[in-house]
Amino acid sequence: MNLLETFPQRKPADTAAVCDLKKSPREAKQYIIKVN
Amino acid sequence: VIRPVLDKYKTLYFYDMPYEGGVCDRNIFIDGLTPAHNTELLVSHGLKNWGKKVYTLAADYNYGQITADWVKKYVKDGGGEVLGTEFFPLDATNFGSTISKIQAAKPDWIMTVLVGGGPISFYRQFHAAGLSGKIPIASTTFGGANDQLVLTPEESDGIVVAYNYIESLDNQVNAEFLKKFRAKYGADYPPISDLTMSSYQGMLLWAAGVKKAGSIDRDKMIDALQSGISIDGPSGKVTLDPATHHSIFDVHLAAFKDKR
Repeated sequence: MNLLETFPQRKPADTAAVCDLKKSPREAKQYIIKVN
Repeated sequence: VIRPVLDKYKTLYFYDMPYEGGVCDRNIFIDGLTPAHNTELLVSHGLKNWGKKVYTLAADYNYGQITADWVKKYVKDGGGEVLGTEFFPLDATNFGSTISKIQAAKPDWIMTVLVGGGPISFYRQFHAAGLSGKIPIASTTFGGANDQLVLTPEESDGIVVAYNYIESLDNQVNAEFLKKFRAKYGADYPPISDLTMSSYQGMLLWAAGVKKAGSIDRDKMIDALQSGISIDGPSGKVTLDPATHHSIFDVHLAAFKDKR
């Protein structure tokens, strides 16, 4: 493969926007994006 | 589907596959890519380098359907337009009508979120229609199962992907890993894909958790794993995010060349 670009230490921003197990440690669900 | 079972029996679970994101579960730790890791980068690359009009082909189950929604969001955010989205079962092999629709729609590029052995046929039929090299392809999935090995270079060269691991990464841990792996399994063993490395590094994360917890007790393991633990694997530094139980790692945009 030809390497085009590297994005260092990328975060799971999609899930981080809806999930905080430090605040809600007993949570057990999957959030689904809603696209309008 | 499996999460309620794991929760019922209070079982720790590592998920090592790319997926659609959004799982928020105390028992689950994930080192697979989510849309923020790969889809957002692929869409940004396509909009910047190829154009604003996109056509999406995706697997017809939750991964493909939800990731296609992420594609729509990222394309819209980037000022682009999704001209069409089609979903396919894992065993789909005939893409003739789809290729006709693509030719009629005239997208600037195509996003594939296809899964399964059958849909590899798309890339062959796309090339046979004279479209490869004319309409670029970005993919969240291509190459994960070494799809390129059953295609010709002409059918797969230039497909752009975004993965945490590609075999050519230039770091010492990867060099040592590849040296040992090739010595054991042979120099002609197929390329090690992101899917493969994700499984291996999932085991490394589990082992780091056991070492820190000093136990395989589930609650002690969870405390250890959500303490900000990280490993230095062949893909580089991988850290488990305490808030989401997902991974923070490098992501590389790369284009296939000569079946690798």
